Amino acid sequence: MHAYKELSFVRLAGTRIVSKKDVIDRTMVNVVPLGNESICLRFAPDECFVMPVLTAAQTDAILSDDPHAILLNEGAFSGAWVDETHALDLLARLAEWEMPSDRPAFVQGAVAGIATKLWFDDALVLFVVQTPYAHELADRLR
Amino acid sequence: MRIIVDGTPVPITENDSVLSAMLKADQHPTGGGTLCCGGDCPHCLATVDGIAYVRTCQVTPKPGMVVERQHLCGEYPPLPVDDRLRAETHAQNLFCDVVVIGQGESGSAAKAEAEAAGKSVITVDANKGEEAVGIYAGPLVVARTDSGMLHIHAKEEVIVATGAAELQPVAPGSYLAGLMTTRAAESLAAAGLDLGKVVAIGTPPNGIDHEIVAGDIVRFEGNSVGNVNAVIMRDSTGNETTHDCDTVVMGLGLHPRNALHKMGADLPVRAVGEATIDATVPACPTEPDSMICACSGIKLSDLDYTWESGFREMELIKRSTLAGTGTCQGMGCIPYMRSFIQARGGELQDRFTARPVNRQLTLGEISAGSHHHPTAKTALDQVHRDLGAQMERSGGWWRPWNYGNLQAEYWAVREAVSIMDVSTLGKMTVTGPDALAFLEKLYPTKVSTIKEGRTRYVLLLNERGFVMDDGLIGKEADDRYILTLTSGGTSHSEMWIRDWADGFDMDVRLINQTYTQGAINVTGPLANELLKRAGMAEPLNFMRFADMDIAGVPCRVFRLSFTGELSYELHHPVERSVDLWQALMDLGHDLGIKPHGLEALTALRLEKGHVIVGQDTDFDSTPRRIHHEWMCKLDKDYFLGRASVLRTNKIPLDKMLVGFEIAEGAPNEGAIIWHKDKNGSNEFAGHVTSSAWSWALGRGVALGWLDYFDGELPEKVTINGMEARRVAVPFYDKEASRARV
Repeated sequence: MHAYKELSFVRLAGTRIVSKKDVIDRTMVNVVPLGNESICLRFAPDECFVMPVLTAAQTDAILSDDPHAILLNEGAFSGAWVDETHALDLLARLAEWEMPSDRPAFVQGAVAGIATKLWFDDALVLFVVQTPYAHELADRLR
Repeated sequence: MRIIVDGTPVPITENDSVLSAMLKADQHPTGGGTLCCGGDCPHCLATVDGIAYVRTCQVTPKPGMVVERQHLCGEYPPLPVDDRLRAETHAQNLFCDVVVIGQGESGSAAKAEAEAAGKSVITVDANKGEEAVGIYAGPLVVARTDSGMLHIHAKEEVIVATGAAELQPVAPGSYLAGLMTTRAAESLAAAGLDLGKVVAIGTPPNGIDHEIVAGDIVRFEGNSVGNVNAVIMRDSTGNETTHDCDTVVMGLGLHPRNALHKMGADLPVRAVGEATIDATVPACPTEPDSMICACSGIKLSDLDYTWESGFREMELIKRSTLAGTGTCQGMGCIPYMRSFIQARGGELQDRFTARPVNRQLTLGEISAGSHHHPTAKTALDQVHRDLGAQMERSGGWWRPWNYGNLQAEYWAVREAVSIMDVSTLGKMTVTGPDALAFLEKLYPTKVSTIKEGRTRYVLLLNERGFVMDDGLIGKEADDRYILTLTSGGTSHSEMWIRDWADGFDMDVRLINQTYTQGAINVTGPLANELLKRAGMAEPLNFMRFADMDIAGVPCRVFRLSFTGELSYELHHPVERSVDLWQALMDLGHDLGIKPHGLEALTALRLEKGHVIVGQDTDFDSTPRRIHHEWMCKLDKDYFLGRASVLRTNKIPLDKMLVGFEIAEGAPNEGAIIWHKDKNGSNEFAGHVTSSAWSWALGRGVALGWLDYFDGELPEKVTINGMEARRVAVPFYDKEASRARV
């Protein structure tokens, strides 16, 4: 039977951006392109979360594109990196939906009954959860 | 190698099932009945390793396995009496194009055909210990295995190739041991069971010496220990003959195992092979005592009674008698129920509905893959626990109920200063060119009259004009507003607000900051002194807000009050919650600061008559019914629910949320409110929604829904046997001089 040590979730430092869909589209291409050690998770057409925290220049670039955009330096999300084999084993038990085969990939849905976001990198998976639920997810991912 | 049957070791061989091993040891699992060895009958049930209702014909024995014969003579096994924690049963999720259930001839062909068409295929084969127990929307096939449950998600279709079951005999003596179907006889003989002298009826068994007899079964006869020793047959002329035997083998016909197919009637599920055959319809039994449904103990006479009572359809007869609802889910009795209805009414009806699950499962197997709703923790959760707080679930969060001294917490608020973790409050920001126009449509207040840096208490109504949430609107700028929502209502309200932003086609940006922003309420007459020490230069005016550092933590400070005392809410980055809390506690030490929990807050806010949406309100609470009609600006052209409010305002009130004072104590929340009618009899008059003892007032105070009687609200009522007096709220500090100081 499966038995894993509890995952250790830590607060993720990043910036949450809420804006119009086309602004988010441009942001992901021009302001925070993948690579350069940044990760941009598209939560919704009008919302994304960028790690690490945006620089002043990046913030200005987005606000010049949409003065009404909301940019928040966030402490609301926690994450845990897990090797892909382990992650897929956990997810086969705890997620009633199919995982992507492309890499990198971002998906979100219920994992063990908790709203979870998953970033599939080359050989690692980042589990992202709203911090108030991190303790529950950690407990259920054993 | 041996298994343990009722405490006695029983040898097992490589070819054995648990059933065959038991029969070789002359230990019939249930004492008798026609065995099928196909998982279709209820006659081989036993409790195996603590799990009841196990079909022993389907289980490969393992050395040391403990078998208990608890189903003897149709008895139900006792309920478990031990409280041992069993290992959690896991669910494994699998994904494919096609699921094929059954791997006999037709199932194997279906698999090969799908794979040839380039489909990914997963098979479920009971012969390999994978037992499909249900098909759900998706389609999703749920199967049990010894190592856990399989949840198999088919993208295209499910193919049911479960074959057909053999008819069971219905005749006097069918409970005897030594009766079996043709397939069962072949299987058990192959496992090495000595069948003795065999009489075969109908399709004969292969590879077994037997005497074939013809005609209709009249009855089975047995010896003193319950083993069959003869079968009585009647030929077409009416002559009866007796055939001595040790075993009766019966091939009486087939009927499809189509329960899984029927479960998927509205889904992409199809049956192939024997699962699609026309069922053999046996002759309707004639003896009133004939056992139709061995699982539920339903005889022919029971069916006749039901028939005469007017129940004449398969579904109704099933519900009326419970035939078909037992262990085998109708695999034994459905053919005879059909023949019964045909004999009585002339119509051959289809089998009754099949629903998941069609096998007995443990609670662990049923719940595999399910999870209870998670409860959130604020950033201060550990701080509360370290302070000895009794934590309770409230509004989806773990919250301190009290810190061990309710009265001290209460009086700290009324006489000194106290803090409370209110991080659970919903917090949203709305920006964009249409921010004001959007909020004007959403809320019944005139948002345009809220000035920058100010807040207003508001209700959120649904289209029917009923209260669905409350909170504050604060204006940051012409195109930027902040909203607060109730702790328990935030998720629903956020979806509501987002839906209407789309519905109204508004150019706005919305963000939920509930998990981003922590919040601490600072309340009590010494709140200004505490916050002055923490860095607040000047006290804010009531219902104003401003950004400032408090104890070095960047805060948005709101002046408001829910407790009835001078109060501030400090909204701050959640990662600084612990710093801020600890600083306030340190700075307020000589001011008598204490944290307070929900229990104290219940009394404090109730003394002020403040309503908690969801506790004091119901699904049909209009602003007028809760005395909040003043919050609806009906001279606005539009707000959500306006038309309904206008309409319901014309209807005479039938009930109101009102305040009660009770000298003797605080009634129970939920208690019935009684009103004496003209004859002195108690009439139901409503119920209590909130209740607490008011230390400040020295009496119980409560809110509750009270019915009108002859156009009037009663002045005096009885609650929990105590006299209660209806009074206007607030109960405490009616001039609001303490909060607005």
